[in-house]
Amino acid sequence: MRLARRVTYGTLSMLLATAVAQVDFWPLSAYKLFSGVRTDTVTTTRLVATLDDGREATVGRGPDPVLSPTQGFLPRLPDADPGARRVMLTTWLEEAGLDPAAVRELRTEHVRRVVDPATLTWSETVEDVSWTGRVGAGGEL
Amino acid sequence: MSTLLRKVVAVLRRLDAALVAPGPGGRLLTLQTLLALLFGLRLATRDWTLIAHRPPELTQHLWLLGWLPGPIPAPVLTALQIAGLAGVALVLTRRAPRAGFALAWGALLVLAGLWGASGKFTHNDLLGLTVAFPLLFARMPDSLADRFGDPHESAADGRDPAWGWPPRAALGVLGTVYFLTGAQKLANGGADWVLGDSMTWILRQGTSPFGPWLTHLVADAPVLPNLLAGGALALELSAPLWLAWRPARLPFAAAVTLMHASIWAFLGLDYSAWALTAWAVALATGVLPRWSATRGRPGAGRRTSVERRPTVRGGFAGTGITTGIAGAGRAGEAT
Repeated sequence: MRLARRVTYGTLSMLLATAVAQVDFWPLSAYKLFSGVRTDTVTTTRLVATLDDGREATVGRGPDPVLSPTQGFLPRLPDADPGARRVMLTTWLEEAGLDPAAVRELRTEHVRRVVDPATLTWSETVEDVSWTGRVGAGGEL
Repeated sequence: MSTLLRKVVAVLRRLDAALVAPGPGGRLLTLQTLLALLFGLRLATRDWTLIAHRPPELTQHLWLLGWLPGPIPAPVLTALQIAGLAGVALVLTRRAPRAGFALAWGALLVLAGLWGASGKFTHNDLLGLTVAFPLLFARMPDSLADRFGDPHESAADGRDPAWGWPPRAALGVLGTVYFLTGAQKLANGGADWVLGDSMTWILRQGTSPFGPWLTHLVADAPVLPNLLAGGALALELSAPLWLAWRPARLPFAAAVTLMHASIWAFLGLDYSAWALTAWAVALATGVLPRWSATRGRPGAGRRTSVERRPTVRGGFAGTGITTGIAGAGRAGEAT
């Protein structure tokens, strides 16, 4: 019965230790599901593309269930090396259905999003621009 | 030693004795079969080749297989999926149940981990994989008589210490994970998580598949979001207590199914794998109502020796479900 005790108590101890350490390291998790207190406001980072014709488009999440969550990498964009940044930007633009060749400039913004309790729609306020990159010769893409 | 400490030590000793007490093979067999079916469902119903489209620059490496170079080619992902499904088949046909279970578990662990390495930790498959972990070390019954108890042999009563602990370990893991989800809400959100407006804003920030009318109906109602939050928290924190008492295990599975169904209805998030995991453990280790276990049999309502130790003919296609049901709840039986 040494095996039974080792496996059972080892597994339970690992679950508790991971939760106390507050780390997520697959397949171990702290199980922080919906654990924070929510308000009407969310702070996030978004990618905005300025197109060749002057229009602006927020590069939102696309339909791909694997690529869509990668927008969580947006805060890392300013510090990424140029090669990695090019791959990240191209992936997001194509995932959002935007032609990289039709983009003139890109920027990441910290935004404050507030949900309206009556309409359930979001309003966004730009707090600051965290990164800007030009596209084309000598640029990002 | 203080009285309180002595009582705590006594309780821990009783729990340890219950963990290693002999158990029926049918219960272990049922749990392994139901978890294998869950793995099969998860492996079969997702296009895992989508992982191949994600560049390494957008792959989270903070996980067990983070050292793998990426991207992993689609044929390799498909081969893993097929290998996992073959493992499920080995469990269901009882050809090589232990190896098959490990194969299915490992394939889903790798594929679900790769799927979730997109920057946002995903928990959908994690409960099933974690609950199943102790079963990887379980010695399975060798023969049908071992699984269900030989009606002509009273020795050991179809029970073995090696078959008793894995389902109990799975119960412990299931209860601990649900407890931790509740404890983290208390640790990170405190009483505000229940008493404040947090649940109202969770509802308003989600997207109900039934449309905004449902969000308004629940989120705008006074007190209702607080009741939902309080109910969910109470259920999660009390999970070990529910699961420690055999008759409460199926009601616990029903309660968490209701909770996960409401998360889907209000927010559009699918946690069905969690509910199915709870059902797998509850069906293997819990007590079904007497009428469903005895309906249609002569002498229904009275417990007979045949009901306590049914043969394969009385069982559910080799899964041992009837065995687990009819054999459950005997006086003095370790849970």
